[in-house]
Amino acid sequence: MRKGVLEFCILAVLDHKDAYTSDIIDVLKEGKMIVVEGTLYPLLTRLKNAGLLAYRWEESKSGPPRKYYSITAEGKSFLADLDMTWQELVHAVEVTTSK
Amino acid sequence: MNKTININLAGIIFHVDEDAYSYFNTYLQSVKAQFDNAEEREEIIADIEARIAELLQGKINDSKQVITRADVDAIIEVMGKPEDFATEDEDGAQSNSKAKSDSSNFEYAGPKRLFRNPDDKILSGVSSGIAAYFGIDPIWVRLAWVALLFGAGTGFFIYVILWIVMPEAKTTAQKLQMRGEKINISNIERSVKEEMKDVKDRFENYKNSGKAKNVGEKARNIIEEIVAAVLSILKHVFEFVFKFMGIILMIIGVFILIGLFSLFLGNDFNINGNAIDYGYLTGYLDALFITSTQKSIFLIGVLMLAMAPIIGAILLGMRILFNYRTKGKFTFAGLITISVLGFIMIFATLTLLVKGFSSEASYSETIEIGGDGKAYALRVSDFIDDERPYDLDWTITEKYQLLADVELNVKPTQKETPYLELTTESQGQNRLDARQRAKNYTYYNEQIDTVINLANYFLVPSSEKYRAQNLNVVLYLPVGYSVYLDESTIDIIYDIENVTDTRDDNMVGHFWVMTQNGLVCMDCNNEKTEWKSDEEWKSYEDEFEDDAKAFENDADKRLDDAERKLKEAQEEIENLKKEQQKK
Repeated sequence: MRKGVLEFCILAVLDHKDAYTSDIIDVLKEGKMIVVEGTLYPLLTRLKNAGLLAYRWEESKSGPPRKYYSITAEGKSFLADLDMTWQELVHAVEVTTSK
Repeated sequence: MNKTININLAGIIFHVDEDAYSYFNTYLQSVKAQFDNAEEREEIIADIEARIAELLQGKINDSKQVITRADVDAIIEVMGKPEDFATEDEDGAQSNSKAKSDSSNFEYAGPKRLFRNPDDKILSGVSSGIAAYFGIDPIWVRLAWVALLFGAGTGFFIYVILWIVMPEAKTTAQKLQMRGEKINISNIERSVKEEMKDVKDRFENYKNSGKAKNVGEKARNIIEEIVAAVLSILKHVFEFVFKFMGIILMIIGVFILIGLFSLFLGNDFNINGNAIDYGYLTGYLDALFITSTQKSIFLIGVLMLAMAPIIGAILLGMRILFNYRTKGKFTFAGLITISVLGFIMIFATLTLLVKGFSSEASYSETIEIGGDGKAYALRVSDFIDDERPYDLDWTITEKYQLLADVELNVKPTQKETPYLELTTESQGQNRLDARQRAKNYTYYNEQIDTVINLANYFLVPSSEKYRAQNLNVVLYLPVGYSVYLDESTIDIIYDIENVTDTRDDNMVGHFWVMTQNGLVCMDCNNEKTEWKSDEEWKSYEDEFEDDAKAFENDADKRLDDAERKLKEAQEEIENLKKEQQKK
């Protein structure tokens, strides 16, 4: 079930603004999607490798340079697709469960 | 003290505890194992490491520069367990199962077992094994053994039994089990490496011995081995002696400390049935100090002053034995402070004590000597049957204080009859105090016919304070009276004046008669007259009386002679007068 949903959420978060891993975590933690940061790193790397995300380095005051992720055009269209699929899924579930 | 390891995380250097390092390394290895795709893995790990570096940066500051195990735990809390990194991808099921097995390996904690620890041992490693099992410092276990040893030696038997029963932790896995440590990748890796090294060493040895083909080389090897063995034995002997010294130091220190405490509490201190009766010692202090408060302060002061060297000795012993170090500065300053306080307390109480000796007074009384004889004998007699605990000049028992400061003298008197004068002197806070104390005594003496028995000590009540009391006994003799000084009086006679200036040790054993000029020896040309028994003395006295009679008879004769001569002289004078008248 969670397959694809996390990716969908990450893309959705980055659609608003560019973000650092811990920022994304904060949002996902709030929604209780994930609890630990570890889960996020492989996902981000794979999304980036798939061309859906891009990143840039930013200097940090407290530690090594940070990777700030941003969504690419390809990512945006994929997000739109995912959104549509999600709406359909929600609708399907609603219809199924309301009967 | 912990060893730290420097690690480089995303270009930043961290100092990590050795313990935390192996834990952290295992964690990273387990995380790494979650990813199959090598290229992807590098990047993900780099990202994770960068993030961990950032988190760790927040854990350190100026006063805390080393990453500890707790920090690593906090990181894992944030980052998640290795299995949290696993994602469902193309070959999801397989990778999942692998991840699970890896992570369960990471989680695995072996059950704790009791082993003897060969890496930290004094005798057999029993103590450090027990300590590892309970996760405490071995020193407490060792101290418990020392304590149990005094409990009728039960500790010894328990120790030996444990030594026999507990196996030694030989393999790394056993050593980990001994501590109940998590058996993780890095630990196993370490164990494997150690094993490999061991095998390699053995192989090298084997190869070397194989090379040593000729007999001479073999012999040299044997000699080398013997030398090495002797050296290692010497090393062990030296270590043993050193540790033994440590034990001795500690035991002595502990005993003195216990002894001082029991002295303070006024209890008897018992070593294997040989009771050292401190009751007497505290009795002496009671007799010196006016109040028990002063005595207590003095004792606490002594205890505190003695503390520094004793605790120093114990700590030194512990350091030799267990390599246990205390925070030097604090201990040192603390001990010095205690010593100085103790010194002040002793000084204050002693000052008060000295004030109690500032005045002096005396008290005299006389004892008439009866009987109509003109010759007496002085003898020292022990009036008390009790066995005295110590032969001291100042002995304290429950009933009285026994003081041996007694002096005997013989002096002339104008009075008709002889008498004894007893004069006590005492120190005190003031003259009145001193005089009161001088009056408070008992002196044993008795007269049996012409024999006067005297004690060579006098008693004051045990409740009385000791203020350097002393007693002077003087026998006053009118002219014509004589005295025999028995050998036993040598202890108490002091510088008795006599005509011939005879020394005390030559005066005893002789008869002395009081003349107008002073004491004259009657029998000093003869051998000393020994004291025998009362009967013999009686017969001797009779003999003496015979002598005296003979002397008297002789005197009568001479008187007769003299009278005769006087008569003759008078007759001559008469004759001369008659001749003159004729002319």
